Amino acid sequence: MDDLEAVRRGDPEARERWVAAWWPHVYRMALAMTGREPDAEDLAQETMMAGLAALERFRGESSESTWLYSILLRKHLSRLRRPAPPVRHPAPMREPEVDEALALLADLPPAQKITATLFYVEDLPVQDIARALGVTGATVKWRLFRVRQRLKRKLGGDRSRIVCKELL
Amino acid sequence: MSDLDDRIRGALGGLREAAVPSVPKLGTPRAEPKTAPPVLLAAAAMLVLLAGALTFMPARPSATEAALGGRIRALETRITRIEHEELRSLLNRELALLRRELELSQVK
Repeated sequence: MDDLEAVRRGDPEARERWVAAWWPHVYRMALAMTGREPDAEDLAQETMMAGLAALERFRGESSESTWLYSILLRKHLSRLRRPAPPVRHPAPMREPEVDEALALLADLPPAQKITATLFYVEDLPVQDIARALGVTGATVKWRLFRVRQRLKRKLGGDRSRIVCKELL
Repeated sequence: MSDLDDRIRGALGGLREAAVPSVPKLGTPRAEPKTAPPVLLAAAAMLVLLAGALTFMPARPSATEAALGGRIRALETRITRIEHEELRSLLNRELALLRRELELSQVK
């Protein structure tokens, strides 16, 4: 929190430390939302810039992560409304685990995607997710229920394939 | 936590392995404008001008004054074209009366 005060005062070193501390979290969340590394980098940068610009107004009523994720979601939704930018360069090679996670998330609507990522990857409690997304706890629970329904099919399919492979 | 939750957590947990690009050098964020934006300033200036105009501009002539003025101008034009001395004198008297009427209406 001391660092946060220093960032607000305009201390450049504190600012760098703050960005470095949140960058991996924000980037991973952006990757979960966009599914593409270059888009994720753009979205994460946009989110961090907006976060730094709005830091004066952050009153600590929610955690910094919750606050940053709410900015990220707003930015993501506003990017979705714009026409898609041309693909700048191919996505880099990924770890298979990352590929699997992104494939699972790919078909979820944005609201369910971010809810699932905050719950299963960032381990945020339901109430924090509700605050970040500006919805009720009941809505978060309903979205998680829908996520479970959708992903159950996908994960079930994977499991049956594994079983078949093992039988061969 | 159900078995399904564990499986989802395990599968999505792969995201934590994603390579994170180096921390970008973010430029200094643009400070929020503390002064009113130019559009608001322009609107305020226009309101002040409008208030000033309404306060200091002479009042619009009433319908009677406008009508008298119109009649006087028409009569002045007509008199210049009349060569008959007596008729011109009569019309000049009428013109004088109209001017006097106009003066009186402005005094009220």
